[in-house]
Amino acid sequence: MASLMIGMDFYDTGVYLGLWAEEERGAKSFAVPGISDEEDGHIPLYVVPGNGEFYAGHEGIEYAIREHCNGVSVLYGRNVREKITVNMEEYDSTELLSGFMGAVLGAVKKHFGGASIARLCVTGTRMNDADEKRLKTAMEMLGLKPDQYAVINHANAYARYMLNQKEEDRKGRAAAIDFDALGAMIYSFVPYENRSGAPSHILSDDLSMMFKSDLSSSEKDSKEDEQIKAFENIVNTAISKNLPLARLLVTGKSVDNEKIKNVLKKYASENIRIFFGQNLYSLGACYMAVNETPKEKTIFDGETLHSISMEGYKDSLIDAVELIPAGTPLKNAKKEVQVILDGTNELVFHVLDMRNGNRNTYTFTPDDLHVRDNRTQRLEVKVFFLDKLTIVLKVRDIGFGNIYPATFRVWEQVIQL
Amino acid sequence: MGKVIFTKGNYSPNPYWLKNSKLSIRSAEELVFCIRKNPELCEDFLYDKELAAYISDELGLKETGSLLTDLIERDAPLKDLISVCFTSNDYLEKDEIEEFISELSKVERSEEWVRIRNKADSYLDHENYKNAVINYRNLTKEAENLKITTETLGDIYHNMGVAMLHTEGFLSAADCFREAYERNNREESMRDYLLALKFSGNDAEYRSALDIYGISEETTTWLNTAFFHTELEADAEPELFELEEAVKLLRSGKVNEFYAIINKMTGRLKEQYRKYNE
Repeated sequence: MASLMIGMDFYDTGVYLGLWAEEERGAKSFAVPGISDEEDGHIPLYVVPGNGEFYAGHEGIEYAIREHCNGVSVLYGRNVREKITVNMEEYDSTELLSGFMGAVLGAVKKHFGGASIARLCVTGTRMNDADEKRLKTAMEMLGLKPDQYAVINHANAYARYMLNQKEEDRKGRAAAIDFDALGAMIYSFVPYENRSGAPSHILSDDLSMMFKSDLSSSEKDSKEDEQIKAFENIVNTAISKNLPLARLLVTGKSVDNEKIKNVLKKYASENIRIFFGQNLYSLGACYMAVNETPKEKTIFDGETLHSISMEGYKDSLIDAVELIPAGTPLKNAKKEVQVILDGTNELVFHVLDMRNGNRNTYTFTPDDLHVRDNRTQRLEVKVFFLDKLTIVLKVRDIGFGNIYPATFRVWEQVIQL
Repeated sequence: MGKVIFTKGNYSPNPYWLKNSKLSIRSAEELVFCIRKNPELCEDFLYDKELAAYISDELGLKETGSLLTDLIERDAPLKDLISVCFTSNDYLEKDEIEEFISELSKVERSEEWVRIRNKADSYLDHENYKNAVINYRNLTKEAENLKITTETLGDIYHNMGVAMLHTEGFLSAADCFREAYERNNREESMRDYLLALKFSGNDAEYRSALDIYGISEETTTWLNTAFFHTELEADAEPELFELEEAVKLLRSGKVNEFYAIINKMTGRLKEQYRKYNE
């Protein structure tokens, strides 16, 4: 029996699926017969509970019409246990989300002759911690075990997508503009070509206020030009970063119209290739389902671009011991160690810039240390990132038992990267 | 070339007092330091299951704690316990560990009375006067069997006298100093004998000793000056007034009032002790 690896991308209007195609060794977009739009695989975010089952997407719409009952949209931003009444029955929102996902996955499994789900990775636009929790709960309600599922944000899904492109398609910066009801997010994928296995860097800009995608019929005439202008501004923002752009990928149901596509065409050139489609993130999620740990590391926006290590004696060896690796979320980019000085007052730190491989050394010498016997000077060393380019070192004397009581004196140094 | 040593395990907010010593530790590295500086006392504080539990629970070195517990239960040789402690962290380098173990083996092969004496001296350094006296006393009783030289026995008596000052008082200490002088002929022992006599309040014996040993006027003047200054210092202590007041009350039969003062004093001492150990 076949085992399926699936990526599922939640937008504000619908869901897209990516499926791993073993024979082609790649992820492919997939339209679920009866549930998805035939054209682009879009599954409306609509679920109808009925007869103890759930009906999703177009199948749900048809069921509702046939049975003269109601369905409900499965949206983000709901509380995990918010109660919703559908057809005079009360459900909690996560139950409905799980029912929706179950219906979609059930149809996929049936299409593949009763195949099982090996791994499922879900991504979604503007995902926050609560959304992630809801999705995980929904998947557990379907009987999926923690090692069978993953939830990632769009930036991560985009990185996965790019990391699985052919090498010639990864040269230069690639920007993805992701349109939804709130506006646009731009993700820049910057591969570092100096060293093999170098991390790729994702920058994301939230341009929520700059673009109103859904125009009502009354707004269409008056606001369409404004909309086109806003769209052009966003594309120009994506192009105009310091590094030249090689690829531009645009996604979003709300911009899937001829006028927008024509605007996009004018940006296409010898140097910039343009792609338009809706399946970028579902394919990226599918790649994540297939391989959770890619060989190349990606550093995302909000993570450190530098790694910090400290020289010292550990496990009978003198070595540079890594304190904070590159790619650590800034809010977690801190480390505390304790050291004992042996014949030296110098603390030596190495900072490696992952963007270019440059390594700098900083020597910190706490002044006026209390005079003590050798190897009785115990110091607490705290290292943390104040922001992406500022490191703070804090050293504190904590004494040596009751042999040498602590003075608790503190030394501080700021390193600007 | 100098280096910075990364520590292992936790730094505990709660110190552990090593048995029969005045040492406390909060980390594995401090334990190694204490072992290295006080090899004579290791036997006392390492064969301690509570220490092994502290290493496991407070210092977070579960494997080390578990190994130590196992070795203690099997009554394994001391050097095995020391090796486990030394290798639990990077405080010492490999050659330093080997050197210490080698030295320890040499000491273990030395004469028993030498080991007992070293231990007693360590107890004295750590103000563990009771154990110091026990060990010194054992040596003095078995001196002939152990073939301890006269002069060395004198030094042992002297140290016993120092310990006795804190356990049995001036008179007993004076006896020890006298025994010490008669064997080692050291001026220091004589002075301490005479001072102990003077502080004991036994004036008759003090004057008799001055005659018997033909103490010079210069030394007598020195002794009187030393005694006078010490008395002055003691008199200035408020606790001494309080204590003298308590003794007067007891002598006049006012037992309840006596205990009121004593309880207040001991309460204050306990509080000071607690604060010191926080």
